[in-house]
Amino acid sequence: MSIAVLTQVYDEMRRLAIAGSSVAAGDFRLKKLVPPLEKSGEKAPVFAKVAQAATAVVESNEKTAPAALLELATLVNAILYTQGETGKPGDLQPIETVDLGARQTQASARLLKPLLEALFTTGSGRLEIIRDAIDRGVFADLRLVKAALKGLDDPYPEIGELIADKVLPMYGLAILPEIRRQFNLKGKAGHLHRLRVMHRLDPTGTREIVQQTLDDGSKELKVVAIECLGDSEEDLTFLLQQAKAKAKDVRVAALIALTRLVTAEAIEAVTEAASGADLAAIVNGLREAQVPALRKLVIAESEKQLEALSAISDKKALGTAIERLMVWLRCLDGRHDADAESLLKKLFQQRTALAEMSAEPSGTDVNETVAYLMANGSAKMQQVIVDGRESLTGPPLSYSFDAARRALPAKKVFEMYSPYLKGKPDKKSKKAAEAFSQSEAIRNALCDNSSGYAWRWGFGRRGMREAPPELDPRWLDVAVEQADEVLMVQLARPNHPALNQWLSQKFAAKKKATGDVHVYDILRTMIDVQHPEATACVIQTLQDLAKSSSSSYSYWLTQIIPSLPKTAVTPLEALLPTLPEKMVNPVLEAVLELKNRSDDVAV
Amino acid sequence: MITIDEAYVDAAAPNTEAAKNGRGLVLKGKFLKLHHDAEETLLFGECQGSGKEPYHCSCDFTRPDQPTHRCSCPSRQFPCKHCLGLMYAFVQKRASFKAADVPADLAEKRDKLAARAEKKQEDAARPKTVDKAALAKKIKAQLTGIDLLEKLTLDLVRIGIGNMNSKSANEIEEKAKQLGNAYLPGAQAALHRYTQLFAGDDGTFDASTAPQQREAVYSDALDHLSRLHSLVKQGRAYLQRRLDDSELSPEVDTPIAAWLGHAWQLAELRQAGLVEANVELLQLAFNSHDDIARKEYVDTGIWLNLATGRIAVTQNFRPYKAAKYIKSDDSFFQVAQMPELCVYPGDINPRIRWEGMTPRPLEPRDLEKARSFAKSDFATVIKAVKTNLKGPLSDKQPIYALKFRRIGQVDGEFVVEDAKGERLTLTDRGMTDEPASCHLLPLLPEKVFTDQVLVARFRHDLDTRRLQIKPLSIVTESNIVRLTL
Repeated sequence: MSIAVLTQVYDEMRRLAIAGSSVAAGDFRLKKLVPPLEKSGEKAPVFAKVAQAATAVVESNEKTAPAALLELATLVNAILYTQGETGKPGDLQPIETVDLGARQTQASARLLKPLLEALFTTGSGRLEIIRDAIDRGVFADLRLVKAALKGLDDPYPEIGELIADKVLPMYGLAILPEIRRQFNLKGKAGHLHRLRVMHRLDPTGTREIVQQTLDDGSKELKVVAIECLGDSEEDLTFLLQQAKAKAKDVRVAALIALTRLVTAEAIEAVTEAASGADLAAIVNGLREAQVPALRKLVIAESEKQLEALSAISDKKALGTAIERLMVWLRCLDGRHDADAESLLKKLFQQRTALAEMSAEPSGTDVNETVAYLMANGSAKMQQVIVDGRESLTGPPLSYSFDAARRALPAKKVFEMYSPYLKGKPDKKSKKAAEAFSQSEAIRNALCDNSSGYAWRWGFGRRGMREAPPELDPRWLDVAVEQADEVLMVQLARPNHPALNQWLSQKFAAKKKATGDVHVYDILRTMIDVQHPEATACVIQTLQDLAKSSSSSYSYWLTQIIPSLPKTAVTPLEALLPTLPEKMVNPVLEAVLELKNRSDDVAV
Repeated sequence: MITIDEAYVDAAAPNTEAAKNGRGLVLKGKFLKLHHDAEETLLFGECQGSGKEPYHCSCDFTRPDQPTHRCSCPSRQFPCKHCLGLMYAFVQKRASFKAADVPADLAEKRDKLAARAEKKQEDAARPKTVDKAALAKKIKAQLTGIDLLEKLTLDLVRIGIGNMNSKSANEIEEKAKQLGNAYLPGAQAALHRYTQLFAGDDGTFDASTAPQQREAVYSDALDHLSRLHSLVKQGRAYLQRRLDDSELSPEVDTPIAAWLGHAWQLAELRQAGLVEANVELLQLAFNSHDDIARKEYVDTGIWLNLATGRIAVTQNFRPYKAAKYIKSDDSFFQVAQMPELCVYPGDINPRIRWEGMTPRPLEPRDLEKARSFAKSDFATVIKAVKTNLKGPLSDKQPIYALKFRRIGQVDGEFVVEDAKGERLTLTDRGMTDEPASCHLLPLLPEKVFTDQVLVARFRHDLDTRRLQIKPLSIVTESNIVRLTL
């Protein structure tokens, strides 16, 4: 009861302090509290003191009011400080945690500060600091969580993407409440990442937020929210509506989400869209689709498009039709089922007829697409394209070689494909020209120059194939035998005496260190093959550069120094004092990187 | 014999850049001469700089816990990169150092240092002579300052907290400068803290502050005003006592001298007997924050005395203007051993300082010892905290180590419970020096939520009238999980 009066006194006193003490004199609300205080004061003297102080305020004048009010405030605050509530009744529930215990680190303030600055400020060079911290596992320090969340809103979009992609998922579900708290339905940029991360971590739990975003979110967020739909049939009606939206990004997001739903309406909507101009935009959805009807649609439409080609005589129309066929074929990437195999086989069999179709893009481009899909397809498809190698040239032969590397032992691949390398540039006969073209196809495949195709025709990252198995060691012998410099550098491996000798000769024959970029390729190869003279050659090149007027080429050397063996540290450190001032700092950084490298494996 | 390693040199560097540059000098082969003296207590050498003449640098380990670094370079960083480089060179290439006679100028400086140290000891032993006239003059000036502080405080009450605006805040800030001139920097800072309640995150006053934001600071503002009022009363009484009795030393049983801004010198603390010998400290938490009101960075270490169990704080103030030249403190993961620890007057968590320190590795027994000092009865701690909070000039956010049975959640709020079922709720509200930490709890492994020790900061919220705590770290059997930075 007494404390209740005291809190009333506090509230009145606070009111007077906010308004200013000039209104305190004669304040009737404070005056009304004096009698109950005096009554309580009979039992506890401290209340009598409060009553006295309150009376002093009420009876004060403009001059004495401030001091009287402060006296009262000091007294009341002192008492209230002793009355602070603690505790919390109720059932004590365990904290739902994500056990990051084993991966947790505790970094020092000096290590964390630059990283926090990179995340909380703007300016150049920050992405590198953040990438480095990710690589070193510094983000496992939980104290960086807040900064990482802030990084989502970084004005430099790559930082936001990096954080959303690599850092936040590491913290797991525990980070969700904070992301939810920060999420703004009307936001842009960082909030797009937030919604994607939330959906990635907890698709079911994020459903409600996705729905809210669809109702009230910003235009950009709505598109992301649509992308997050398609896990439930409840979404169907809405997605069907959005699939007809005028804005392409909205329409495409809805159509991609619809490819996840197994309902007649969804299939119909996707089929309709695929028959029109939106086909190219929804390739990713069709490629990932597991709905049988959509998988059949891809096969049926591809066949229909293929059959239609022979009837088209107009070059422009033919080019358009071929382009559309190729878009449909892109939807087959990654499919290993019988229908896809049958279609690819059919296309492969028609390769001669297709090659004769001249347009932009041409039938040859279709053949390239088919060869790519077969090489990355099932074992059966790989075998077909390997068996058909004799009739191939150019990129399809490169893909045949890739398929063989995946399907057959390295020894067998060498025996089958190495004879092609013997073709020389010779345009005297058609046969010789074809042999040379085949030779170039294998050389390109060995140098992995054919991967550009994946980007050219829109396979994107999916087109970046996994590293193929090791090659037969005899490939390098052939390269040395034919004095093929490009292949020698490409196929270089340690402990090959002939190659080592060639590298030494090549380095000795260099005209000058500066400006001769080729020298750096030689040095790089020497390091890669652990050439015994690699360190000496790098040092000699550094010395040559030090004598020259231009040291701009030292950049290339600083890039390869960290890959040298650790034994190079001592001679390089000895060299440092002899280098000119303009070279010494970048070289020093490189030597430090080499010195601090955790293992002795060339990077 | 000099026993230093790379970690020692890293820690001696004022910042990471200086350490990097110091290492760079060694690698670049900039040291022309590397020597040590016959007793191996002094390193000295010559380092080629950008000029013709090399710099002469030396590191004197005659006092191992308090080495002396000297260099002829003009750098204001201390130790400079040349001295750091000299130490790195010693650690990395000890064999390159040759014994040599100490150069005459260096020997002279060493002698002078030894003489100074001797004199210092003599001075410390001799009773300090005070210029009574000067002291009386200073105290009078301080009393005049107190009058000004009173006037400003009363003016603020007269204006009303709700009527504070950028103009009045700027006027008060301007007048507060006079308190600095009146040897009352502490009082000036206290006034700054009041005006800064109405400032934005960048320290500038924004007239367009939203009413809800202003409402949130009113209770704190009133508390600040009553604190200024108490400072005026207690400060005046204290200064009057000193003016009446010129022999009187600063008070050591209350923090009033520090409140007024008395900068305690270690000699004064020694003279007042505020020293502990052969102390071992364990750092429980560390944070570095930007104090806009004081225009400086503040590095705060929270330490546990492994002999007494008392929690104390180190504070390293780095004014913006000189931040580059003052070594920042860092998290410390070992045990700090020191022959002498100076303890400032204060209540629950006094400020501490030391002159020389040697680190030793943290061992499980240290954590066991630290855990044994934690308070297992929350009710007793709560009582002690409330008693302390009553004092208008007391530390309003004391730190305790609490032995808890478990940490959990009730209605979405984090709650810590002791063995008797007494509970405290966890919050970040109102404690902004350290970054927020409650949101980190769900990221911790489950085992840290049962039968561990929580290092926490208490705060009484005047609006909600609740006494709550902010988690700073959790001390387990095997490590200290730091939640703040």
